[in-house]
Amino acid sequence: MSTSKPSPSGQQQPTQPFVTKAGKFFEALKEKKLVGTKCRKCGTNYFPPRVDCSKDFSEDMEWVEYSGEGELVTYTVNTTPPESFSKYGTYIIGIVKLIEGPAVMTWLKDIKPEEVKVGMKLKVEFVESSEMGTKYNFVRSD
Amino acid sequence: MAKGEKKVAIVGVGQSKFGRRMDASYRELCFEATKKAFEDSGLTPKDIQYSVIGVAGAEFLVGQLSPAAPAADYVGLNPQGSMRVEAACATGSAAVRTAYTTILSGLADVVMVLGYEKMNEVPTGRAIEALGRGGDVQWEFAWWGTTFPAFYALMATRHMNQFGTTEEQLAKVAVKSHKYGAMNPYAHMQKAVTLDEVMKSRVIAWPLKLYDCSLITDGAAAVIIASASVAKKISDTPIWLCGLGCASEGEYFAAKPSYVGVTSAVEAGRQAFKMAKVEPKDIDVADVHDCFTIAEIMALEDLGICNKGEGGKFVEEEQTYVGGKLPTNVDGGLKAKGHPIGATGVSMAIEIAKQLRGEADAGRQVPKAETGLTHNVGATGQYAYVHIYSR
Repeated sequence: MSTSKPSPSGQQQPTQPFVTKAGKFFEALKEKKLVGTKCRKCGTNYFPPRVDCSKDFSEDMEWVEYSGEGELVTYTVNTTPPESFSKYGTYIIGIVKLIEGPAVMTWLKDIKPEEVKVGMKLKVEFVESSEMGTKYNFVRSD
Repeated sequence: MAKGEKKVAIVGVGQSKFGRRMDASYRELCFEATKKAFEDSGLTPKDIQYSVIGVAGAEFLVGQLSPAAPAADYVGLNPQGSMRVEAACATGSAAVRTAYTTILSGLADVVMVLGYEKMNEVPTGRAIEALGRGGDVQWEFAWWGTTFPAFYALMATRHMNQFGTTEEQLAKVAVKSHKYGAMNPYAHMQKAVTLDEVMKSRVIAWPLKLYDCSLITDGAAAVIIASASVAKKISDTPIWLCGLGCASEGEYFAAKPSYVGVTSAVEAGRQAFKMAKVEPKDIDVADVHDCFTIAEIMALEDLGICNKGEGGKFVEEEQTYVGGKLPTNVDGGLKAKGHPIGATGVSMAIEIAKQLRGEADAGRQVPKAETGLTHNVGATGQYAYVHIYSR
């Protein structure tokens, strides 16, 4: 019933997000860089990256590298994962507003739920995952 | 009373018992709902000229692609033509709007709106998975396992941080909804709960606990909608759909314009109030999209029933009870009546029609209700529909 398909390791993987013209995003992750795109015509920033501008229909986009630093806007301690994430058990999901402006969804790692505070400073961290290849999380930066 | 034009009306309503319905297939639930709508209107299947069928996730939940045709056939609506409508959790209201536009186009005078969802034939984890995939699968779900409880928990945390809303205020939404759900024979959970029970229930996605969450429900709901000339012949108490609003927004949650409200629902409400020529204070009874307790608080704010940030206080003062400023979800809401996705918006229309006819169950009828509102949000605002009804 799920649209999941077997990954090379034989594990069920949640989905296949890699078929896109924005493949540079995944290459950048391997180089431990978090990137988005920006329309050269109207200046709109896109995270997640888009290679097409939905505002003015331009395809003249540039890649922008983010510092990976930001502030926690909100979070939840999710104890009830969907079927394809059941092996992860409980995880902390947060939204981080990057100092460059865009907001990103992420997991918060290396922190206890009771230590998480809205407004806390965070920085990006890159990890290898069996399903997604190089993935990013955020950790506290203070 | 709403002063908007009376062109299209609800003339018949019916729904199945909502619940964990392992005794019936989705087709059989659709039959339960439509049979009651036919009895209520005095019409028969041959009187229906077109059917609009709302179902959100049948591909995942019962494995049926193109899930309108089997439902239409089982309830005798062939060969008049049918279509499937999908707008995530706002599917039912999108179907009502489609019936409205079909009638105003002149192509049909009498349309059946049938919404259904069968959610309990898969394990709970898979139902959560199917719904979670209503968000951005490529950039969010696949990376972070973002579920709908998690999305609304992100809003609750921010709302609490920004406005001082408390977990107790969230819990009070559930206490109210369960009180009225216990009076509704069609509700999934007909059981009152105490504040303590809600607060001590297990965490699903902090700060949301089990009793902050709507139910995974099986059910079907049907309304028959007719043009003005036909409606007046069929019914002594047509309920006029005189204000409609809809708006939409993007799916990547982190990029939402607001984390403390549903921006598209604000716009949908503005349109509906303008078209119906009423203001928020004129609404006598409302069914709003309380998929989670925080969602009811935000809906009251987004509709202008109270100011942004004051929804928690409004709930705490029991203004959402019968006798309060705006009785809200006094059918139990998604919280206690249940949330069979495709049926939900249609069931909201049924509740408002019954309230405006004065036919709601004892103990939860709003006295002399003349104007009612439904507020139905798909996903986290990707779709928003607000409808205003008048006697």
